[in-house]
Amino acid sequence: MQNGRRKKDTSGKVITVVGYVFITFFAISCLLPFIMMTAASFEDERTLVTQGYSIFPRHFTLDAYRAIFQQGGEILGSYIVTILLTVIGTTLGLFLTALTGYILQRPDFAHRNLVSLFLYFTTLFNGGLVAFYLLITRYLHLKNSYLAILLPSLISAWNIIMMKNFIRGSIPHEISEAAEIDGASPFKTFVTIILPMSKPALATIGLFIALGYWNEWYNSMLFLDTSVKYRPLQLVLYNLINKANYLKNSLAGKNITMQELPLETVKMATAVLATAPIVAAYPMVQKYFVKGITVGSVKG
Amino acid sequence: MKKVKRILALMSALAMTCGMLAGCGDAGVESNGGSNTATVAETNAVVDTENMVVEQNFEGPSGNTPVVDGKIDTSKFVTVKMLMLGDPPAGGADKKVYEELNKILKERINAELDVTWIEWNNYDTKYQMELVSGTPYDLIFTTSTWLNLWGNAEKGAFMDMKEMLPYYAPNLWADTKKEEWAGCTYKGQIVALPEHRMWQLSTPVFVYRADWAKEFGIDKVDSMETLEQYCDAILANKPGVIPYNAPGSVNSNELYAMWLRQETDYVLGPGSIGMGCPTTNKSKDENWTCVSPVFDDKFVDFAKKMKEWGDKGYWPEDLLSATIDSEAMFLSGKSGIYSCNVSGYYPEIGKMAKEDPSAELDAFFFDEKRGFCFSDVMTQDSCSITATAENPERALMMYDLFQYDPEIYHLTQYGIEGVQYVVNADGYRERPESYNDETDSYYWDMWSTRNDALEIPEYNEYEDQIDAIKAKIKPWTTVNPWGSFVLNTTNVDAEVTAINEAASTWLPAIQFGKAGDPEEAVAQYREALTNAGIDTYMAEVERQMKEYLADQE
Amino acid sequence: MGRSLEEKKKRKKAWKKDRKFLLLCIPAIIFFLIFAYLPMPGIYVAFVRFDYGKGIFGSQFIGLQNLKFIFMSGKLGLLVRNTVLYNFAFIVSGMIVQVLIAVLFNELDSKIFRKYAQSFMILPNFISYVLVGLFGFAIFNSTNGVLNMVLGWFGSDPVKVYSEPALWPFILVFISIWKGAGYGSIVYFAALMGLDGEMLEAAQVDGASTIQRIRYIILPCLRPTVILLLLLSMGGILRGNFDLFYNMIGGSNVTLLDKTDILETFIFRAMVSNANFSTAAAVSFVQSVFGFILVLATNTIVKKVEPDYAIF
Repeated sequence: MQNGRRKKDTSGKVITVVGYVFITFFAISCLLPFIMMTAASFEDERTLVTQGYSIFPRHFTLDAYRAIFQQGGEILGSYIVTILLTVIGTTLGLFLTALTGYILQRPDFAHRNLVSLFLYFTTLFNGGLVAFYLLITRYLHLKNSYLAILLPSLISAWNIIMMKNFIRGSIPHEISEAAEIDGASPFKTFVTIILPMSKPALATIGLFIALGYWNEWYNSMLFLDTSVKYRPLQLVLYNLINKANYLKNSLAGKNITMQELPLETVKMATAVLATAPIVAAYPMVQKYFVKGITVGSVKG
Repeated sequence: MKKVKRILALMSALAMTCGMLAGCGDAGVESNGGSNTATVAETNAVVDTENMVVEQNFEGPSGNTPVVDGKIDTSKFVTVKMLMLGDPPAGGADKKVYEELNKILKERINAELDVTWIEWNNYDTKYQMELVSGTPYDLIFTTSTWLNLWGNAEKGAFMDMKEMLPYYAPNLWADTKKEEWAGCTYKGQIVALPEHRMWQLSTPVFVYRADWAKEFGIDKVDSMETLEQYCDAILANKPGVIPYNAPGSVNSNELYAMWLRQETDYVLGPGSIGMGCPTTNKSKDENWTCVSPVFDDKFVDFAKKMKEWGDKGYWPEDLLSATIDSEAMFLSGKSGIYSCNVSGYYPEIGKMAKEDPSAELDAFFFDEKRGFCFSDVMTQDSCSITATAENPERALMMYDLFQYDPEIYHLTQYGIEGVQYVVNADGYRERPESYNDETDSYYWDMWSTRNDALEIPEYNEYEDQIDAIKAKIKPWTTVNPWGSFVLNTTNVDAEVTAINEAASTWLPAIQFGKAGDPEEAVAQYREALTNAGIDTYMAEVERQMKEYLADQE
Repeated sequence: MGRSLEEKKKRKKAWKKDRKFLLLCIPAIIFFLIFAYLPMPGIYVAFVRFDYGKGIFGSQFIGLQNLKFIFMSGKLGLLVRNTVLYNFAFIVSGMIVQVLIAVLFNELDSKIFRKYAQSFMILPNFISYVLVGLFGFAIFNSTNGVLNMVLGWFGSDPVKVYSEPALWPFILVFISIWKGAGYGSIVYFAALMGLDGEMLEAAQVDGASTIQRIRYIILPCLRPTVILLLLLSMGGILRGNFDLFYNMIGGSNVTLLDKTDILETFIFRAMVSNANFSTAAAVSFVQSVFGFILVLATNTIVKKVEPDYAIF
């Protein structure tokens, strides 16, 4: 009640109980595999392979992490590169997404649907891998440049359309009109009034963009070769698993003698290493969601 | 547009001349001319294979390394770009080795090597993209077994080396037989370099526990019957052990491979598709044919047998959806069989000894019954020159040194003496004491340059056992009879894709007895193959084979 | 005549007025021009027999030959049916659960609970399908799977999940819900943020029950988002989630294929050790065309009913 909630009626009580039970159950089902994954990353390889997963490691060892830091090269540098890419990409991308989304939802923009179609079309049709590869390497000359990772994921039509929807749903057009009667330009209105008012939307879309950058490995795989010393984290981890996987099962494997890698536990450890930082950073964005819609009530 | 191009060409020509003039003007730089020209090896100046005349003057495709009066002019310093497959050594020792190498190369052929690696992660996509974007690699790794060498050659990705070889790779040219070159030829062009001086034989095996077999009173596992006895005995006497504890995937074909070699005369030749191999050649002697073992009555018996084995529990119930590390299972005694190629068997001996010293290994060689095995194709691992290469001539000179010059061979294969290896008093190669795997690890993934004649053997505790295996399989070696025949799939692309789909759908399930009623499953597999146009495909293969044979005469 | 002139004038005026807006869209427009429209002619690769020497546009045009193998198999109908039905089930079930979570969340008082529950619920989003497949196998396999262990406690016979096709639609839908719910509900939750607190207060003063409040205020507030996401997902209705199917089932579990084979898994089997990007591009092109037609149709309908909710 302290956050201004009313006294609950019967239906409210039922819903609250159902809510707690359902969400508790669901949240546990989400947490459990994550715990198993973390436990497995500290498990002895042979035990994991022959006995399967458990909630606690039966034979605790740091072998998997040791192997990653030994074979993965410059993991720390990779973390930094990924964090920088994520921060820069999200900031830039979010600003452009919000700006475009805001403009596209304005009812006084007559050609908004035309521009929306122009953007939306790209979510369905693309030139394919070959053309994209040639564009980046031959025309933009971005092979082995971080820009090849940063630029292509900067904005997506999907996010712009979502943003457009959020802004239209939460900020009445009258606010923009009022501001512009006072002589503000649409851009100024956007920066001074709209941006501060759409924090939950920015947090949501920002989270999506950031996760995109954080998890990105495909473009890195295509455009950053081994001559780049610090490559994004996901690529480095992914390479490590793939190399071991590949050598184990393939024709080419016969030619190579490589150090034994505790492959299954390494798979788990890489997942933990890739997830932990973003899970740790999540509460920063989360505060914009959990506040809930009771804010208004408190005020009143 | 044309004008622009012409101006560009002129400019680059000018730049080149200026560069050369500058080089000559600076007397201190290097002794061009004299020491940098090599004589076209005398032995080869007279070689005349298939009307190939080696003349005293040869321009070469790039013009950067012309042959003038029988001498190769290497006065222009060039960089040779090479693409290898694999993850580079983690500690970066490869760069130090290339530094050493480049010093020698500069002196010998006035060139340096620039290596690019393609890592294993999605290597096939990246490899295709490198070809698509036309990066001018002078030397590029390729293989006909898993990187589609012939398909890429068909698509115009590689340069014909035929004319250049006698001038620029004299040792390789002299050391390679006509039929060996034939295995590297596509439509009359030599598009790949052979892997021919490193003996190996790819024969599939089931490694098994000889100590267990003895325990069960089984002398030797060397047939499907004895294999059955062995597996039954495991089920009866070794609780918790699954006879063949392995996963199934779209690529699984080990039991089919066993059956082909044990129960039939079919042999795998150039018309086989994917891992499911639903088409083969009729037999060792009738090898210019294309037939499908799936339509043989015996295939139904095979399917029934495998259903029986699967029902008895020879492999895990859900293996088609499982991820199982079959090697780990075998090494930890939870599996009685490990499926691999003979080259995968060698290291297993040492690994098992480490895990369980009381264990003894032996292998069920599928090919033993028939007593022959086609030798690996020349292009098992190979090297090509891309169509856009800028210095193919110097690249070939370099490749020749990689494979035939002892100093460069040891450097490229093993690394720097004293850092990566030392040769001990017995003449064996071993790690120096200072060797640290994290910083000094080094390997060379251009496998086709390996040459038994220049090898310094590494000491191996289990050498005797490995030698015994090699001695056993060596007599089976039978030269691959198809020479330079390569199937051109242009007319049957859709069929190949559809057949591949049918085979990867049905073969794994049938060979593990997990496709329901075996007779019905085989009928469905056959129907799928027929729908996929297997008849059209086989007719096309035979047509091309006939055409090829006619051409040969 | 006069009218069209007037219209022309109007249009001209509209463009003039739109200039300041277009100007602000220019960064996005340039971005899409370069990264999306510039390479778009590359679609042509779907219709050629590709030749490295000749490049995409120099290669021989072969029309839809690259797709011929799908028709030859006679399985096209089954594949399309499975792909579309699964996507439909994923979209609808996912949406219901996500909306449900967002609404329930909103009703819960404990801040701490909400915070932790929400954090836990986004975790599946970080677990790759490879790992989901491994965990799935640990639960469902018939040798030592958790499911059969539990069934054993209750005296039930073991279930061979991996050879029981009828179970798979449920399992796959469940996993799809599980993986997307936490992440997806954030969108709806954010949409609820736009809700006017005072309106809720007024409803409460008027004596509306919780159910009524949800029914008449909260759900309508989510309507535009629901419609938008439905519309957007229409575009991908013929695109299957390969990672989900492949990692849960494996590549060649024939017994399950009738119920679990989708376009992507089929193509995977055809391309295994036989990769060809022309074929990949051709399939993708057809999927896009199909999706585009569907989106155009739905968008037109939405535009008629609720003009504000259309994407374009």
